[in-house]
Formats: sequence, C-alpha cells, structure tokens
Amino acid sequence: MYKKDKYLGYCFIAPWLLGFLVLTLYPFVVSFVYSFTDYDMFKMQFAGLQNYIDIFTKDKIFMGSLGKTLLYTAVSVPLKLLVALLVAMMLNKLKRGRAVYYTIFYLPSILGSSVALAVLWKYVFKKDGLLNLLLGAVGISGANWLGDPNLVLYVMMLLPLWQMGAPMVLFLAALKNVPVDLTEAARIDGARPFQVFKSITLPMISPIIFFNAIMQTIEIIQIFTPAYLITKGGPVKQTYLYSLYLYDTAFRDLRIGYASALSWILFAVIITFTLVFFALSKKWVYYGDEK
Amino acid sequence: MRKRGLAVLMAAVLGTTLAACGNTPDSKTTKAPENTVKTTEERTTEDGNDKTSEAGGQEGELSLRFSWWGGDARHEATLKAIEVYEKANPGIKIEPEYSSFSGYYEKLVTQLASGNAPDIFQVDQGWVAELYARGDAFADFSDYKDSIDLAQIPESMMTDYCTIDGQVMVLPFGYNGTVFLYNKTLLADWCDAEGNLEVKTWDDFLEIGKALHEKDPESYMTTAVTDGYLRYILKPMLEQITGKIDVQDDFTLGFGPEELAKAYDSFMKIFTEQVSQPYEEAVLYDSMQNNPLWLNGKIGGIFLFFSNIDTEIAGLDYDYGVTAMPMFQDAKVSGQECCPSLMVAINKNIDGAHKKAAAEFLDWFINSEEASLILGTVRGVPGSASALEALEKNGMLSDLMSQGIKISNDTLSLKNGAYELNASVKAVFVEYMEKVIYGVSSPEDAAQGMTEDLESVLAELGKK
Repeated sequence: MYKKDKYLGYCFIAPWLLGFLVLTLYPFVVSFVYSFTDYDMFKMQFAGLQNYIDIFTKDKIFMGSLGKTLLYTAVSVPLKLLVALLVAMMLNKLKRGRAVYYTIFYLPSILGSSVALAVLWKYVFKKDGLLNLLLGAVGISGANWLGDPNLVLYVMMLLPLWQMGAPMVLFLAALKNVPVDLTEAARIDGARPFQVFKSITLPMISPIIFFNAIMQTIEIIQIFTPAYLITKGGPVKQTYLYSLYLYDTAFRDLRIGYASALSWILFAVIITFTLVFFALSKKWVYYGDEK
Repeated sequence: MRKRGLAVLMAAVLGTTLAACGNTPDSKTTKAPENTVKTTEERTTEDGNDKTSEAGGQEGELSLRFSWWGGDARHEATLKAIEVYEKANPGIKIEPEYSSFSGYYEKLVTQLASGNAPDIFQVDQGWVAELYARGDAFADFSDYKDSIDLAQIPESMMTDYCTIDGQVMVLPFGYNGTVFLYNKTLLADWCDAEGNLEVKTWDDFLEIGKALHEKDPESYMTTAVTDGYLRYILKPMLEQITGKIDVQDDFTLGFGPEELAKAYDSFMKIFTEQVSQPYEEAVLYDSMQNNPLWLNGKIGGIFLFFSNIDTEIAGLDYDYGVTAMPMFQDAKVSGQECCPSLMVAINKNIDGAHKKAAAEFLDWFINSEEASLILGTVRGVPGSASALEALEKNGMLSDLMSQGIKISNDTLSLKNGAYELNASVKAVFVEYMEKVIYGVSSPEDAAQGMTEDLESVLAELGKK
C-alpha cells in the first residue's frame, strides 16, 4: 500500500519534476559550463576564466548595471514589504467584505509576468500620460517621469508595489496568528497601539518579514520586464538593470558564454545576500523558542 | 506489470501537461495545424529526395514555414497572398509564422542555432553578414535560377547587398532611401509658390527650424524616434563629413574621434537651437503615429524612408511635400541610407525539394504582378523591377512616394556597410549619442569613448 502511494506521489509530481529537470536544472548546470567558454550559439571554444576576468577588468557596463540593480532592489524591497504589511493590517481590521478587497489587492500579482502592468505604467507616466493629465487638471505641470534620467529609476521602483499580493497574503496569515491574549494584556497594562505593534506584533510576525524579505530580494534583483518594456534600459542606461544587460549580451550580441558568466555572478550576489540575511536574522527574528 | 502501468500513466500525464503548454491557435505566432507541421530537423534527416508526400499532412502536400515580422497591414496582405498562392498550387502549404519586430531576431538566431529555423525567413539587411559568418544559414539562390528570376533585382543591389563570397544569400523584398517629408501647411512661410521647400544645407535647416520655433513655440522643425535620430541625422552627418561608410566591411571605422566630435557638434545644434522636439520627449513615442505634435501638425517634417511616407501621413489632413536630405556645404555624399529595406532568405539546412519549392514561391511572391498587387508597399517599394512596374502601372504608388524614390535615386550615397546596422554596433552608437544629448559626456569624450567601444565590438565580430 505504501509502495503504491509512493509511485502515485511520483506520478503527481512528474510534470513538475520534468519541468524542473529540463527547464531549471539543465540550464543551471549548462550555463555554468558555458560560462567558461566563448560560445555564440553556433560555435563553442573553451575560454577558461577569461569571461570572469573580462567582466571584472574590462567591462564598462557591468558595475553600473549591477549598481543600478542593487539600488533598485534596496529601495523596492522595503517599500514593497511596507505596503504589503500596511494593506494586510488594514484587511486584518476589516469586519466585512474582506474577501473582495483581498481579491482586488491580489489581482495585479496574477497578471502574467507583469507585462500588462509595465505597459500600463508607461501610459500612466508618459509626458502626456494619465498622471500628468491629472496633475495638469489641478494646475501642476508634471515632470517627464520616464524621459528624465534623474527620475526614471525611482519611477520604476514603484512598479513592484502593485504586485505585493504574495507578501500581503503571508503577512495577513501571520497577523492572524499574533496571540490576542498578548496584545490584550499589553493594552490593559496601558500600552499604546504603536507600542503594541512595535513590541508584540512585529516580533511575532518577524519570521514572515524575514521570509518575505528574502523572497522579494531574490525576485526583484532579477527584475527584467519593466526595464525591457518601458525604457529599454534608457535614458542614458539609467534603467539598464542587470537582467536586461544579461539578455542583451546573450541574444543581441550573441555572447552566450559571457552572459552565462554574468548570470553566475548574479547568482553569487543573490547567495551572498541570502547568507547575510540569515546571519543577521539571529538578531531580530523571533521564532518563539528563544531562551 | 504494475510498474509498467504506472509508467504509462506517468507518460500520459506528462504528455497532457506538455501539450497544454504548447501554442494555442490564438497565439500571435500562428502555426499550422499539427498534422501538417514537420520540423526542419525531421526534414533534414530525409535523404534530400523529393519525399513531399511525407512532409505535409495530406497526401502529396509539401509544407513550407515562412516567418516574417511586421504590423497588421503587412500580416494581412501577406496572409492574403499566401492564400492566393495555395489556391493556385494545391500541393503547397505555406505555414505563416509572423510577429512584431520585437524579439524576432533573438528568436530567429535561436531557431537557426537549434536547427529549427523556418524554410523561408525575412531578415534585416544589418543581420545578413553576421548570420552568414556565424551560422552559415542561407541557401544559395543561384542554385535555383530555374525556379526564381534573379534578373529582376537591380545588379547593383545584387552585388552590394545580396551576394557574399559569390553566392546569392538573400533577396530584397523592397528598397528604401532617406528623404525629408515636410508639412507644407506649417512651413508655408518658407516654401515657394509651388510649395517646394528649399533646404539644401544643414544651415538652411537650422535657420528655418529656429524661425519656426520662434514664431510658434509649440512647433519644431523635426522629431524622430531614437533609431531615427541615429540613422537619419547623426550618421548621415558623420558620413557627409568623412565621405566614407561609418563601419567598413573590413571591421574598421571610417571616421576618427575628431570627425565624430565634429558631427556631434552639428548634431547637437538641432536640440540646443530648438530645431528638434526635445529628445527626452520625442523618444517616448514608438512611432510618429503616436506623437501628438506630429499628429497635430506641429512638426515641420521628418526624415524617413520613402516607403513609409504613406503610413506616416495616413489619416492626417495636411499638405505634404518631399525633399532630399540637407547636406554640409562641402559634403560629397548625402549619407542617406539607400538600401534594401527587408530581405528574405531560404534556410540552407532543408532538403532540395523544400528549397526548390521555396524558390518557386518567392519568385511568385517577389516578382509576379499578381502578388505585387496584393502586397502593395507593405514591405517597402519593391526591389524587383517587374513588381515595381506592376505597382506603377496600376497607380499603386502615391505621388509623394514616387517623388521620394526619384529624389533618393538622384542623390549620391554610399552603400550601407555590412556591419553598420549590426545590433551590437548600433547599441554603442545609441549609448554615446544619448550621453551627448543628455550632457553626460562632452562631444569630445563621447567621440573618444565611442570609437574605442566600437573598435572592441568590431574586433569581436571580426573573430567569427
């Protein structure tokens, strides 16, 4: 009986397993091999560490692109988590109609690959877009949000906020699990709402904050769609995020080996961030089993 | 036994899942019904003999995959032409695979590398040399002289753009040249009694532009998209200064940093003297048809390929004229791009029967009167003499387009270099052009940096 169940289990995970092997594990391994080659999709030559050496010594775009991406991540992730938490707290307070708001806030997250959102963003923030039209109606002359090199990256940082559905759901679940006896006891002792939030709610949901922070960092550091669809990396490379640089190197310049090396460097950056997060988590994440 | 049963079940589950991930009939890139599709890879394993009955879904049917990019007008006209051809040739099935330009090159390169490229595919002139050098992707049209009439393509176009190492690798669908399309209504003060605009030099151009903007601060002499500023203004200025192609076929540059800095100085005047719509505003529109200033008749004129004239003025109620590119006083060549607009190739890695059928189809598609009348100018002014004649005879070329062709033909220009429009080369041009426009780099620094970067990109391309 157990054996039968085991096979049935494999059967159920087979589609995922095949997808994982073919679409994730295989490219993962192969890209590592490619990163040591000079490969243009047609011919391949072993290049040793040359790609990595060139990236750190000769590449004029690499540092700028990585820097922009890290800045984008450093601003977008906390902002997204903050909005997700605020919305979750509001929903948590709702007595009626929670499901409707829940659906409305989650909806943008399921719009495929955020393409629709990126296109929408372009129409909102264009010089003659919706935002400037609204600002114009109240007598304010709006900026050229997407054309001004000093503004464009910050405008794009707001885009992921629309897709805060996933962290919001997790926050909501975490907020529901905050023990009511603790918050009530604190209130009886005279704690103000902010003190309750700071000293009870935040520590109780800290594992979810930690989880969301890691997941969102991994997601946003690899963000591609907005830069590709809205600005193509411009103006003056101000939105030339790392994934777009990687894509151009691979498919426009046909330097697959070099692009693979770039992708492994990004992987190393992500791993480093994750390890740092884990190391720091001991100081602020509360699992309830601490002494 | 039980294990085998489970294995069968798993296979069925996988099959269903994968099938569900496949293209739906509604997806943008259309595919023919599954029973008629046979991949190129499968065909190449055949022995090259005419086993056409196996290639199609029906007995005796040979199917050809044909990919192109374009807009709705091109898609509709091409699909209609395919329908007519299939009706006249019951044994042939053409499977259309069409999309927009975005991502087409990336997809084509991947298909070529994986041996799954279409039998017939549209290519841009700027890709030909690189795809030939890297992928050896093109069949030689001269092997199919009996099936396709190559004499209809002008000899100079054949030599300059279609032939590599003595083999005819691509054929032009259409050809193009750069002209200045101007709004006679807006520029009435500067036109003569017949409505002709006199802009022989860049100084004339700047002068009119300044006066126009002073008269009406909302109006500008010109505007463009990023590609337009590069290909229709900056690069022509550079070629007018040097008298040479910017990127030579031997992977060297036709200019030095001083000449490039000089071109940047002249180029920047169109922005500093408010002759052009500000760059940061203009480039937010994908095309002129989305630019409100152009639609509202507030732009004096635009540089464009003569094939696009009718598209750009569609639905607009102004009076237009065409004139040649302005030039510097002492310039010898105009710097206009006069070249095939879109090209077509037959996949080298398919069997002889498919190649022959592809050549026969293209002969009809490119040269015949019947196809020309269906296709009109959706792929530019036809490169084939017989097709052009058919359009002229039937009054299908507008007056403005005919004038544009004449002006462009009468203007002395250099051929496009094989790597001039290469994607990596163009990316460097755009990067530094923007640095100068946004004031991130001085013309001199940008000229130095761009020259160095281009040399390194060309060295990389030259290795292949």
